[in-house]
Amino acid sequence: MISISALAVAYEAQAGRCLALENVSLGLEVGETCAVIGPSGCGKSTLLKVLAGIIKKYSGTVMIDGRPLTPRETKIGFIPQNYGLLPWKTVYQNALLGVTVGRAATGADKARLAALFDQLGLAGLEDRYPGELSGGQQQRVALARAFLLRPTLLLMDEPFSALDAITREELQDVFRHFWRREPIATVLVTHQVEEAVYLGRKLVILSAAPGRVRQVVDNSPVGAVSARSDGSFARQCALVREIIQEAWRK
Amino acid sequence: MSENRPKAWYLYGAVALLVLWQGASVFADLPIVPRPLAVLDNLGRIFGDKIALHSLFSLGRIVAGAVGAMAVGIPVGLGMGYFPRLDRALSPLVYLTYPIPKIALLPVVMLLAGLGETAKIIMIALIIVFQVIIAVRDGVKSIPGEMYYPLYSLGAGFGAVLREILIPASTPRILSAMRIAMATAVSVLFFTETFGTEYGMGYFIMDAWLRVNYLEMYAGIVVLSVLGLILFAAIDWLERRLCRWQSV
Repeated sequence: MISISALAVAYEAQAGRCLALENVSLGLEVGETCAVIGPSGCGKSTLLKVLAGIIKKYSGTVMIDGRPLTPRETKIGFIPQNYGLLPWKTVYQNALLGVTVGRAATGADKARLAALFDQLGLAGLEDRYPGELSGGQQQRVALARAFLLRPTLLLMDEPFSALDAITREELQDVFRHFWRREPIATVLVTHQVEEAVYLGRKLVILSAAPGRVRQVVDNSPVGAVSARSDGSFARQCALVREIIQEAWRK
Repeated sequence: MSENRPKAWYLYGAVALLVLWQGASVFADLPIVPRPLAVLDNLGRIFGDKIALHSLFSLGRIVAGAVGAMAVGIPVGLGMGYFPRLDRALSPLVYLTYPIPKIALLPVVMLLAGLGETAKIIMIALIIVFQVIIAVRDGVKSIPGEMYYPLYSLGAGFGAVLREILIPASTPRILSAMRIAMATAVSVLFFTETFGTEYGMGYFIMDAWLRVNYLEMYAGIVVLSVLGLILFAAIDWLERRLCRWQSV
């Protein structure tokens, strides 16, 4: 159980202190996906950076199972917007990077990675560099890295937004497939209603800067369950759109 | 692409240079501009006995200076690039000392380090080190913040960041800096070899000049130029080996 309470983050800008997030409280169960939707600049990425331990100056508390959340004690996977692959490492080395920080890769890691590469359609690309791959393939490598790591908490910053529509939906399906097999607590930041409704069990709607939680929508009957063609999916998207329009209106 | 056949292009450069030289020598028709073939013929005869040892001395000094410059410049540049405070503290110092022509420091270096090898190696290192510091610092600064996030979120310490990101990201910059600094380094090497030693290409060329042996002098110049070529080719080779990801 991950719980965020009264989180506020300020940063120094030229105009003085700016609030990025204010009074954000959230709870996330183990194996739950949570999609955070908000307008640009509302502090969505800031929230992820706090959870990832990248931003350390904040007020409020971020706890996991009653203890402070820190990267040293909790395995956290982070997929940034540009997938976070290192251009000087091959696809294979990049995928192993998660598990090899702090230790050497074991035979079991390698066997699991080979299986993941097969399932993700990356087999044969192991020795390529990220610069030689398409955006969709790079995203698959990032997913392979995350699922190989088996983190306690997975953070994704608009992971599919740079992809074309078809590839995006394909990869959303890939993510759902893996997530169902091994449910990992996931916080996913997005500005797309369909993506949030398709992947998130819980939808968190943030207001414009400074980001505050406007509403939390329970999406469990739809998120990670129904197909895009289901009537319930379309109805839920329409409903969430209405809630968002209401929430973002000043 | 010309990269695919570098050997052919080196040959082309050498032939073009020889043709120009031949033209100049015919046009000037003076002993101070001898025919290239006569020089090459002379070089073939004296290389093994005379020049080889001198060129090894020069090569050794350059390599020692370059290694010294990297040993100091890479850690300083990485530190300045990664820690903004260190950058603020050291940048003024670097900017003030970088533009000083290093050859002007020669008397000081000679007084402190003597007339021997140390002074020569320090001079070469001084030329290269600033380029390395600035290239590495700027290289590290240009790494987008997002590149660090996956590592930070895994609780990676500075050691892992250094190994996985900082060093590979700055390797191409280091090699570029070496390439830029190399020509100046060879010039300064030549200068420092004109005193306090009886070995090195600088000594050999000046000695041949004083003996009015123009054929030997030109042979020395040709060897110095080939030495430079070897150094550039070595840097290119290292870049192809270490930065394979860049060419994709």
